[in-house]
Amino acid sequence: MMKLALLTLFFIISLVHTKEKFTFSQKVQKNINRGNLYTALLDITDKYKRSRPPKEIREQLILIVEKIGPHFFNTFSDVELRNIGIPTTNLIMAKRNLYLGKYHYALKRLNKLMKNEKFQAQALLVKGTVYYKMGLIKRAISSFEKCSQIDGDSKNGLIRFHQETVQNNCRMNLGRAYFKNKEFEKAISAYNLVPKKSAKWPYTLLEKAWAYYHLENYNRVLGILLTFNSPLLESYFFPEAQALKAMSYFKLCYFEESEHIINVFYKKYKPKSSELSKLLSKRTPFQFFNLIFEDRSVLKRRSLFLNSLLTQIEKRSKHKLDLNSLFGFNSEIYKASIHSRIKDISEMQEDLKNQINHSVKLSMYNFINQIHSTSKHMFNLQLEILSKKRENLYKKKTILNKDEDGNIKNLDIGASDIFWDFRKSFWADELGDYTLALKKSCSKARR
Amino acid sequence: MRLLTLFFIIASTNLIAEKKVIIKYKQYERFDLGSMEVKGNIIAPGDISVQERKRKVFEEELINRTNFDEEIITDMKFIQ
Repeated sequence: MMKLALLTLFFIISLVHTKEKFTFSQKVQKNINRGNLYTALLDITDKYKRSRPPKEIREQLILIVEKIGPHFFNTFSDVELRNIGIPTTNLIMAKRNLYLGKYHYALKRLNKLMKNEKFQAQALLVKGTVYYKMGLIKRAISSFEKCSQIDGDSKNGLIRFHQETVQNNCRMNLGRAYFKNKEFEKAISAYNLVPKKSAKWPYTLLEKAWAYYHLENYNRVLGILLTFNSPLLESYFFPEAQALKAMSYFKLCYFEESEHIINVFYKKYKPKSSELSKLLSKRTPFQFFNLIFEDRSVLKRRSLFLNSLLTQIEKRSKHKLDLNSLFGFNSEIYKASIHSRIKDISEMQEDLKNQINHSVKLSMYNFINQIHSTSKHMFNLQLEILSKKRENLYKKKTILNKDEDGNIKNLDIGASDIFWDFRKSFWADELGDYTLALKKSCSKARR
Repeated sequence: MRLLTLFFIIASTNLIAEKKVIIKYKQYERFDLGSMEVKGNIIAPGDISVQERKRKVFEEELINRTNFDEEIITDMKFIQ
């Protein structure tokens, strides 16, 4: 009798619990169907912050996060992320552990993600980065090679862009891993895998130039850096390219040309540095967030430089995803459905605005720091040039005749290379494939 | 005895009081350096010479990239 009573009680409790779960799941599904994704997300995370959600709730959560992005979980603690236990939260935890230097925990999280096809590319990218930071370059190369072969197949334009960004990042990181391992020719081959249409391609030019610099092919370095003069790349900001250009001329013993580049650098970047300092010294709330939404034609007239920096920031995948989430908030608030949690969604929107503002501000600080660190290198190079010129003077060295410059004999020609003259126009298919033909004249006397 | 001592004291005071010293400086003095001689041994060479100092060789730390560690992490943060 007692046993029967206990069994009946147990049966009633499980029935009530199932009904509750079913009701909650139905409520979430209704919100998803109505397009109130943020309300559904808030309901789930409020209920399951301290306990693991059941399988059907987790599947609904995965669907929501696919549409609105993962930024919502950025402020969750590790315990809360672990409780939720969906692939997105595993990826966030893996990245956090990577940034904190807890590489073993990062690998533990990533191994759980490898089975999920949708997250495999991102998981391999993070895994490769973990191995790179641990100094296990061969394993890093292996991971990056695998993820660079995974093509995106989403029909959604924004997700497709994100998948391509991950793939191109893998290719770039493959180049960087070879570079660190001093396998410069393999690094150059890896950088060449990034297509010219990709927003990452201009960054590969600078890194490829450094690889050629280490191979002592200074003509090729100067040719690649010439690409930055093309109108297509005028919005890109690379002060380090000027330092590398000056260094290459220095290595070829073209001291006058090297000095000229240093002087041009100071003339060009000093006003830019002042402009950025002025912007960063202001303390208006959401100043950088508002800059993104300023009328571009007005901003171009005010400052072409700021406009080009913002263009560079806007090409980032994270920025596009954040703006997409922001517009998602706006549309849910605008619908003002009685089922929506408008107050909570407004707070989430403010939080995202803060995150975007902070991200743009950090980028501006990064830009100004690049100018200052390059300026320091240019100064050191200038001292070194003065020293070399004085040495030449004391040793009564004369300058070589420059008639041999531009001669094809000065080129480092590969078996399959074809050359033709540059005729003052930057054709898209030729970008990044330029080379100069200067003769190195350091050991001989110059007139 | 006392009278004798007193006599001597008064006498010496009078003598001191009488001595008047007048100090007079030369209005003009001439030195002939050419005719002056210094006695001693020459230990340094007499001719003028200039020793060339060692030239400072500047070895400034010039820019040289060996890795892109920072860029790898920054790019990951820019993806998502």
